[in-house]
Amino acid sequence: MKGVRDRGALHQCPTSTHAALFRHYAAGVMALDLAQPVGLVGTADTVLDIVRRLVDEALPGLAVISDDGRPLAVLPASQVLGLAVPAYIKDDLSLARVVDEAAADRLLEALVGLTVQDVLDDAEPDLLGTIDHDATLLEVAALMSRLHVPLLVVAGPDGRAIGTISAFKVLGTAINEV
Amino acid sequence: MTTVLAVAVFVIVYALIATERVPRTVAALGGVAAVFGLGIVGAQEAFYSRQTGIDWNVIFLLLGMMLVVAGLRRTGLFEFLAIWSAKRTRGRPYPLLVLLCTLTAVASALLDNVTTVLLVAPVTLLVCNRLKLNPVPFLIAEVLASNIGGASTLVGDPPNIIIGSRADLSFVDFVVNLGPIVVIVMVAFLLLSRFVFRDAFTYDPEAAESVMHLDEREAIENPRALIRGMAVLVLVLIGFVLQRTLGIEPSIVALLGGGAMMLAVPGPTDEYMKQVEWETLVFFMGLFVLVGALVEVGAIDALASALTDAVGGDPVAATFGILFGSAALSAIVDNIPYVATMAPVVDQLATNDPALNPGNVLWWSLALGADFGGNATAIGASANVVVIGIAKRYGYPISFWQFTRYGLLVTVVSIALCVPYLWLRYLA
Repeated sequence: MKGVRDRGALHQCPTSTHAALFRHYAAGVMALDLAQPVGLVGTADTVLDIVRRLVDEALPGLAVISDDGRPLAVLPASQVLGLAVPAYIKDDLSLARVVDEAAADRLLEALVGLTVQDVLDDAEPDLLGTIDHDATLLEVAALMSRLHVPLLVVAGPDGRAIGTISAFKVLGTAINEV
Repeated sequence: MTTVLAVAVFVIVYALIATERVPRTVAALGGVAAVFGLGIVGAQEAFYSRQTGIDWNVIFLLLGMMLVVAGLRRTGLFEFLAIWSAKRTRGRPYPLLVLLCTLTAVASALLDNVTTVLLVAPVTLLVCNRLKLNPVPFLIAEVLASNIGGASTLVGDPPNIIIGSRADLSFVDFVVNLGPIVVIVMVAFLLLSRFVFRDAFTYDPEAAESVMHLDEREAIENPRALIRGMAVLVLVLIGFVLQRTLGIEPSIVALLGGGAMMLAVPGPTDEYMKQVEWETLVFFMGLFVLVGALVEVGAIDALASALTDAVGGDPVAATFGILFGSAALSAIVDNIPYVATMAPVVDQLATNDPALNPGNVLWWSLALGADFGGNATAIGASANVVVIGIAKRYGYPISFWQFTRYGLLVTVVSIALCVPYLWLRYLA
């Protein structure tokens, strides 16, 4: 069934940029086709706010964008969780076992007052996790796999974020091609 | 001309190591390439000669002990002991510092200093966070204790391993000769800590109570593996003590121990191999070749002869010259390359005039000067550099001068205590 593509998401998009891109890339699934306008957060958001969004919207992660809409980083849910774990416990996992349940349950207390910008200051540059709008399904899968992230942020021709692609979406699309 | 070239290569490498312009292993290997390329030494001198080549006893002793430590790390023993100690102090800061430093010093006597501080730092952070204490004074005190404790045995500090191999001194020789002064210095250090770190000792009863909720038994995942690991450690120590009687080298004891530990505390082989500091081993090999080149061209002989003339047959001048000189130089450059260079010099000095070296005092002054001198500055010993790096990663940066302010004081007190000890025991 190669060549028959679901352009539903693209047709629903009102922007002329997307329409132009659709005409240009007439065949093959592109990152643009899979992008969904969910999971985008700004640098001024607090970490606790994004934790609530992850939980409420059941997202695998979030993409951080700048004030002018450019992608800055991808924050997988596991990395957000990791922010709550002190570095010394990550270095010595046996210390996680010695902490009593009551204290362990309060792990998110460490995130109070932190903003997304604070997190980015310590983030690995490799976690940028941005893919071009015209990337193929294989490129998307390869980058996700290499970065070990469950979502990527899709950048449009002007470099601004269009939306995010989740691993679930990639797998869901790819399975239809088998 | 060859002598000038060898010395020039050596000085350049030393400068690169001291200034950290390039990684120390790269600097050492670059120097090795130069001495090979210039034809100063060849394979015979570098790999097979006892006098000018790589000291394989040192390399394999380090390798074996790294494997022993890798197994012990997997048992959770150290975390258990540290949390148990914290609970015994009921969260009171000064007793906590005393117990953690004592634990660190004892562990450092048996294990490599760097490994010991890597083990103690995370648990210190956990306990200090629980007690709402600033962990920096505790981390600094622990690394100082580690360098002090490590001075007491053959395997406690890499400079001692080099000295032991060069001078043919056993594990027991180190314990008998350096053990007493290390205990004295350690007691003085703990008393001194009461005053120099006094600002850190704020007691919060509520926070102290939270330490009592830590469960140290949870740190030990596999009690049987712990018992087997402890048994191997005890056997290794017995092996070191009986090494002379058994007629085997310390490196063989360590390698047997390393192999036994891998069997006693099972784990993925690659995990064990990751715990071996290969870069450090290669750095040591490079140093030995560079110093061997100096021996080969006669530079070490010339230096030893000049020193022999300078001390004029006076063992007091020789002993304290080496003690003070080693302390000062080890504060500026890492004490490992310093001792690697000085070991053949002291060897030659003792050979030229045996009267200078009653009871191997020159070797003990070299060990004490280098080991305690390593405490003086943030870059004096590898353990200092490692702890400062860890502290920064955990969000508690320690500046060069913050460390040096405490380290220098501790070094001055330590060396001052060594003077009457060496005088009364070997020279009076």
